[in-house]
Amino acid sequence: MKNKTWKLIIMIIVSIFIITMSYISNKQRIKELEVFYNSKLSPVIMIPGSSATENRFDEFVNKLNNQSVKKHSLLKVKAWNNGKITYRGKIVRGDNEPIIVVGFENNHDGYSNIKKQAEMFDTIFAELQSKYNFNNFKAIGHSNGGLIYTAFFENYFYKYDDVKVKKLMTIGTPYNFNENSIKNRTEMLADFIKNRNNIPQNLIVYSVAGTKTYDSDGLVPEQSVAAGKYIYQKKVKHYTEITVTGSDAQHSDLPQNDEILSLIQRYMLDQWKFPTKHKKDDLIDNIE
Amino acid sequence: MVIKFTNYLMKIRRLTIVRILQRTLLSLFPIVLVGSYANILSSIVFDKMGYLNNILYLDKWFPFFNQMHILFKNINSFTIGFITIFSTYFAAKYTAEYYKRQGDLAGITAIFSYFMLSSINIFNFTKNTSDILLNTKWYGSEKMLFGIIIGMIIGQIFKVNPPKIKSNQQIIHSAEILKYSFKAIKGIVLSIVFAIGMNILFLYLKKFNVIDINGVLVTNYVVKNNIIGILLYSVTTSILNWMGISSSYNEILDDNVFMKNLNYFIKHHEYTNLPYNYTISTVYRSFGLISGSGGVIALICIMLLFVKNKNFNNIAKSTFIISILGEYIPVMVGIPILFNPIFLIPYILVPLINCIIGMFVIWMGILPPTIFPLMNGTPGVLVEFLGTGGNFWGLLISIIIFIIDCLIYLPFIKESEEIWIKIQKEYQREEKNEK
Repeated sequence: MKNKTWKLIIMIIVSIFIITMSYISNKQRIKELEVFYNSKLSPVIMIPGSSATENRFDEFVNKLNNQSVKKHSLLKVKAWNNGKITYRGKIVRGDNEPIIVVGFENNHDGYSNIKKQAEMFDTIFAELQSKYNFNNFKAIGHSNGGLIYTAFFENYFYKYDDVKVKKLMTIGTPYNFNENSIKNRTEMLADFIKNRNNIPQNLIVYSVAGTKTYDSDGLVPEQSVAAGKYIYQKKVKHYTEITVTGSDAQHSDLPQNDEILSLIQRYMLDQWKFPTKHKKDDLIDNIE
Repeated sequence: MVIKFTNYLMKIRRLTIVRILQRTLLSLFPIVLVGSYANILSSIVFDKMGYLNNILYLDKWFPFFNQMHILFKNINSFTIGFITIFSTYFAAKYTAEYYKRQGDLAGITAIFSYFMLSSINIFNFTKNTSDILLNTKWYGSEKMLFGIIIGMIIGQIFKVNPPKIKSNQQIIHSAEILKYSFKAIKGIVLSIVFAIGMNILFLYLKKFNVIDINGVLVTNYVVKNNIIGILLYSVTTSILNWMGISSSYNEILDDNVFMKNLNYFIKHHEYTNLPYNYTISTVYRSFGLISGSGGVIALICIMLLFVKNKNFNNIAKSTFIISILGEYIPVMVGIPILFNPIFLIPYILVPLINCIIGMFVIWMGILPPTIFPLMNGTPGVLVEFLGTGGNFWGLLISIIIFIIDCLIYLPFIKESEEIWIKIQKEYQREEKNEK
């Protein structure tokens, strides 16, 4: 009889131990889960074009902040060729829509460079994700930045199944490099078209073309920007092409273009209303 | 009426097919047991999402964590992952031996016949020559019943061989072995023809998709908060599992609904207006599976407490912990519960009653539905407790339901013990008569 009662006591002690440990670790996991899902952070991540640095969008962000009540903080990330990643600026506490600009030391042209930059961007994206725990973001790429984004979505984005990309805007992006006609497809365009099934299907894409002459923005032929439709059209949720004319519609001026700024405000940024009485949840209630 | 039922069950137990099935399953038991332990080590101990890993925090300090995970996964693949091949061997062996033919050769023939039968392109119909001949998807535990049937058929095919006069034990000299094996050639050739015929049949049948009953139920009825759908799901899952046909886990189809519940709760922090109150995860997983699939954990507990029979006791002891952690195949094979008519009724009844109690408890608002995702291998009793974020009433009610399940199983186990004793006496009588 004694043996049996000892066994029973041991079993009860072990069960209580297991139940308490389960309870503790479960509570911890739930907290982590809530942090992740409650992350209201929804940054705008921008990639500049070739020969541009991470300072490319400084003027754009200034203009943006001057025009709106809501101030966006600016965080600049640079990927060096030796693998190092440096940060400048910061995300202000309470800012749900910071602007993160990712620049590369190797910012040269050419498909092989684009591929390298896409790989570096993947490393940076992973680091940003683990630091800030956002579960969705908006993407803006100027010129080659749009190519880097396309390569990233097609080849690397599948790894992040907890993160959604809500919108993508490419500005003056040469999907077919310098080719004037769609009949001559570059190797990069052919690859992009071949792998388009990997692009997230819920994505909303805006492709903005600038104009200096009737068929180019002074650097990128309009046909090259238009080639984006062979990649995105019918693959993503919506694909919209917008042509911008007038002053500041030349290729390098596009990031400062007022028209484009208002497009970004209207289509890319979260619509922000004045807060209502409940202070705690106001930012959740007002964000789309 | 109970006596009539007992006699009926005795009749079934005496059937040749059932005897052979029982022998096959019991022979497979050690392999299945080892494989299940390996599976537990792989997906519950050395897995980031594993229950035991999470309460012991093994991934923080245990060296070679990832290698252990892969090692045990491979051990599982080579044991349970090939269980159909082993089961077809035993089924053919015991069938052939029952008819006094060459059992071991029948077993080997069944193995390569099964390889042929399940092969992807035995005629090289497909242009893709990189297809390997071995179709390993067909060798796992989902096809075990099918493998046993094929083995029995091969065993029957071996009846075409000339009957042996002497029994198995008297074969020692090489000449005798040659005579013995040579006589089996007819059976072997016929088995090959059979296997190739089945292969052709499956090639044509591929055009018709296999209907997944549970999948249809889940997508059409259960997902939309349908109470009857969930109860039907519970019954069909129980029947299919009792027959050894476990469909791919349909909770994946439930995922969309699950995420909506989770997001709603995180946003509003309250349970009263959840979009989906009755789903597979809130009802079946949280209540139906409290005592394991078909209530087998309750069965094991009753066996440990009330049954003195050594065989049953040993099996119950060795499968207790792994059944709590969600590996039910060893106990199904060891007792066996597979195709055992005695346990069919409680096997269906226990999850069904649990689901009904669960739905009632949620409807009355006594307990909130489970919302949070759980680790692999979380014991059934703790699902409601942990899935609601630590509701102690959930733990209490789960334990009460478990006790009810034990009480449901009690009469059936007593019955099964009686029948077992009677059958053992019969077998002894038969063997005496043979001698």
